[in-house]
Amino acid sequence: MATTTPNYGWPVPTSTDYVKDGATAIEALGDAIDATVFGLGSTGLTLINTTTFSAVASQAVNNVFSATYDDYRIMLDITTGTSDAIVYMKMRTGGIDNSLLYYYAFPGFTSANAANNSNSFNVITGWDLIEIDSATSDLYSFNGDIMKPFLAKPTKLIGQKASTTPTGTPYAQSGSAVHNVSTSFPSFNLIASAGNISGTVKVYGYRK
Amino acid sequence: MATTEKVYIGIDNERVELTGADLTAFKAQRALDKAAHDALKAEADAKAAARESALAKLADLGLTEAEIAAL
Repeated sequence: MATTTPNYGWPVPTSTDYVKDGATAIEALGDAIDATVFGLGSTGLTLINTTTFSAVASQAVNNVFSATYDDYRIMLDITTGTSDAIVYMKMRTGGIDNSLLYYYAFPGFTSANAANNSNSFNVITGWDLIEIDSATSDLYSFNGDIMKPFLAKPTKLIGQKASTTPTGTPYAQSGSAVHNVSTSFPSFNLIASAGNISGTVKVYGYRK
Repeated sequence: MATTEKVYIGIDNERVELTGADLTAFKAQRALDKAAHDALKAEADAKAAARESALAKLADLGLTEAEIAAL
């Protein structure tokens, strides 16, 4: 009598089953595996793009948002900055950055004394992703979801950051932001407010 | 970054030096971004400082934290 595998429940024959039923058993097993693997491919995150940059004042990442996905994950890691700076993110289309109607609220605390270190901005020219102290390196990451940038609707950003103050005190912030412009954006730009930055940015798509 | 230092930007996997009108526009936008950020940050910091000052004055009047929170 056929049984099933312990994890996915795929049908498999037992040692007492007839050999003449082997072809049917293999077909059933193959169909079950096919269904499972097909399902794995239609969910979860897919890496769309990895861009590594070095000593640039800004880094544009073009044509990563499309109709294939609605929502995306961005993982930004800044290794060094040559000046104390803020790294802004702006949505971009046709090689032009959009600098209008960014809203932003990221409550946070410093690591040293749990002091409040929050940022909130109403109608600013870009989202503040990371603050950099030029004297330290490898302390800067932003990890967040960007919702519906390619649709002609406002874009939302929800994420967390590891940053430092300009004097090198680490702090963490977690929050959300809105770009209240109903335009389709296939691209974005990361812009240092001063100096140059180096790092890596990865973009993943959430399967619909 | 010194004003005489060359400015490079990344466009996907290319690193490009900005010159001429592109460089001028980049610097102008950077200045606008910084001015907007600094102004809003100063406004937020001033509000936070005023709130801390008000809370301290209420505490000096003898109000407890629970009473201040209930206002």
